[in-house]
Amino acid sequence: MIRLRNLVPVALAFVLLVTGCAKKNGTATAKGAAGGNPVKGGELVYGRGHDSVRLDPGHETDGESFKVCDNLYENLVAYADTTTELVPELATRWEISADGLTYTFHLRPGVKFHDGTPFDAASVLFSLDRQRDMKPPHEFHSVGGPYTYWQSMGMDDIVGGIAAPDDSTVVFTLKRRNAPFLANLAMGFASIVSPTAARKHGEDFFKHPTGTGPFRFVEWVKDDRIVLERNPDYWGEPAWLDRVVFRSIPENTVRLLALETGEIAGMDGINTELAKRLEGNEGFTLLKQPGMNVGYLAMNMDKAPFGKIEVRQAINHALQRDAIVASLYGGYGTPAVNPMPPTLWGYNRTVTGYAYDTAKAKELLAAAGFPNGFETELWAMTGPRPYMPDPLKVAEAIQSDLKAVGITATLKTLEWGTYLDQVQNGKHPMCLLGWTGDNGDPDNFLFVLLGKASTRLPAQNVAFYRSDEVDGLLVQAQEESDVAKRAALYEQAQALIHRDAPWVPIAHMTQLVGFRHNVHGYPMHPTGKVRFHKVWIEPGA
Amino acid sequence: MFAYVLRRVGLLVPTLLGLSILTFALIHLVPGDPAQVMLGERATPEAVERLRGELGLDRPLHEQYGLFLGGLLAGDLGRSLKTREKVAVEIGNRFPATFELALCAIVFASVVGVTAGILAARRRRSLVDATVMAGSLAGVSMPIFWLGLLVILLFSVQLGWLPLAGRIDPSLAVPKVTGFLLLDTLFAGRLDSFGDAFAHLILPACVLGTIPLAVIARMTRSAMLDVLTQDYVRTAWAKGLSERRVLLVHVLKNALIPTITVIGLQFGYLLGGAIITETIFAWPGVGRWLVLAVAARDFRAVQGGVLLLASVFVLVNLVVDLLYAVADPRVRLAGGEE
Repeated sequence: MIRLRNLVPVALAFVLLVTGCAKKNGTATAKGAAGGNPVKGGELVYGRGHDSVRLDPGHETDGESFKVCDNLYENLVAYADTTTELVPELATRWEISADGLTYTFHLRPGVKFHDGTPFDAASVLFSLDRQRDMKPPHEFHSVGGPYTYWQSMGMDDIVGGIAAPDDSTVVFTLKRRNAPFLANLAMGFASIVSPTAARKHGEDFFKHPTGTGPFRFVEWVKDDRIVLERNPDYWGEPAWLDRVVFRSIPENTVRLLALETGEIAGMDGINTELAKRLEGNEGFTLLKQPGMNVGYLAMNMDKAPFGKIEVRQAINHALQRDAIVASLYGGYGTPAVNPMPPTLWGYNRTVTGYAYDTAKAKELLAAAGFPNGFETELWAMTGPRPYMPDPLKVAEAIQSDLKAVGITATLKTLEWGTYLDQVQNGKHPMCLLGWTGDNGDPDNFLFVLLGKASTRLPAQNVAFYRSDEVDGLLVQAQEESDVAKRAALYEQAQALIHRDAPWVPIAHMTQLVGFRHNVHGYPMHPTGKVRFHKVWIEPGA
Repeated sequence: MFAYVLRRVGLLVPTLLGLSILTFALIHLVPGDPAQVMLGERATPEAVERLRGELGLDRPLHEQYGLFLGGLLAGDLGRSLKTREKVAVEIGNRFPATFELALCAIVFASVVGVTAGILAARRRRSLVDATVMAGSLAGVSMPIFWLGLLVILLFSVQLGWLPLAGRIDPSLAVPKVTGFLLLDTLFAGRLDSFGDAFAHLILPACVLGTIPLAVIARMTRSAMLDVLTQDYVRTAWAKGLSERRVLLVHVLKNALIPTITVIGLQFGYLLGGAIITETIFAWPGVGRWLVLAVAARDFRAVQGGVLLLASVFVLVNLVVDLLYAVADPRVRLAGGEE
């Protein structure tokens, strides 16, 4: 018979013994020279809320996968460190033909994939042709599921052909002039993968990512961590860090505590509460900038009474947008005036938001034939989104503002998947929604969210705004390759959209990333790219 | 006995079949198109349609179920819609974590719970009894989320004794053999890694074990009190046996029978994954995976996961019934006939 009474102290002693054995290696403590200049070495553990879904840039759609792949893979062209300006990466230079239909890229020589095979024109063709809708289809077109980003960026309507006249040249022939095409090539989906590795692993390639980037893949423990190490054969400046570990810590507070105890050295998914705790604390660096996103209230113009411009303008006048953003974004939001964030080129700074004016709103409602207001539904997401920390609270604030001008809005909420499905099929009268930009081009906000083509179900243009005038400008801007001329067209379009008021733009949410104070050189990018190539850890700090 | 085990295992088949139909029906009844959820805000209508075709979502439901069942019989759970990983691999990646955590939690809960129950029963209505009863009431009604954060704050942040998230420090990781870190670290001959993995287990196991602990303590106490009033116990006292012998040999052996049942059931629940504990402690187990799969309408993952957990639950119950027979020879496992 086991003497239970004696078991407890034994168990306790055992616990103390083994925990005593466990010596923690500091996450970021490489011994060596003092801070100031970058230092080689060290391991950076970065905490985020979810694991990656799959590490194949052609297939992935979630931000957590892109964060990892941004360090493993490279593209023909890339975004500069902290702007959406395009710079050479795997292509050293490129030429655009006078008619804007032919793009010739000259490839960087001497670049090797992580599996040792050479990067060449054939690998570019493999990486992109597998995603194209071709006849006959590419051998990898049906491997690994849909190429979602290629399709959603409309690449099949843009790219007519890709050819390799020699090993170091790739020529794209476009079906129509499309200026945002070049920016699309800098996006994650257009990363160049090793054809050898893809062929070797087939359906399982997503578990064996093989690119040319400054880090290479080591291991992936699902829902726990993904480990990368420095690519010693990198063609450019090698990374400073020895290793980068992406850890999934789903609970925000616990992730912050892990940062405080040093279990991780950097983190994202910082909400406003956590940001306040980090801000002003000497042990940490809180990086922030207006994100490339927009949260908005869309009025479904296919549903009465939102077809009337006076009603939409009245609602714009009725809402205390600045107060909503100030109180519900916790100081980490910028009130939105236009459908795109002010960090993008082509932003129209002469447009000013509709002033809060209930008298004017009532006047407009009366002019539209609703002197006593009307009843409608306001749809809202239940959980936080990257462009709106608390949609329900925002909806409640809007509801009370509308009440003040006589509009009775009933709140309706649905689980996210269902919500998106219903909203994109135009079931809502008014709904909250938002967008995070992809390629840093105004087209990616204005055309995607308010173009006529986007009203096809399931629609991205959930206001079902169809303006020939605006659409004409947006299409013209797509075809123009001169950036200054494009900017002017987008500015005009924003003025017209402001007048027509299909939305009430609400806010651009601030992007937040936190690091321990000894982590340096993190370039915060408008697109939210997470790149550790130039990050270094100050030893002993 | 062998026939009994065989019959019980055989019963798994209709149970799982029924469950698979139920799971299949439920996940398809919930609104939200898996293809749309997978492709997200950016999807074009063509992409959604193409994916629906590729996933077989455009076929009638009974046909989809038939395909699933056919795969199942061939030992193939299919690939997850969301990750494109084989569902069996997804489960294999996470189940060891859940099992290890559940086992530690139930061991902790049993050892402490049974001890507390015995102490409480020994001196009924004493201070010890009142403390155990009040403590177990608190334990049963404890919000796990709050408790989890509290112990993290105390033991990880304030005292710095224990790590606060995950299964092992990445720098101490060992190659995967079984997926059970306590075993793998020993196989690798790494005591430091073993200690670290064990340290990572302590907080989540204690938090996860809190409710079972309370239930077990209460059950042990009431079972002990029941047995204590029986004639043979009075005889034992009359024989002049020591208190320890009466309580731990004569009383406990009989009182343990209902306790074993409770422990078994609780263990079965714990193996189903502990969503809250897994979320707080960043524990890569099946519970959170399954919840995310439901949210993503990843019905293949959900079906596979539910089937696995149901099988495990049934098997654990079977083991409990067998233990029951060991503890109480009067129980005959003849297979149904009374």
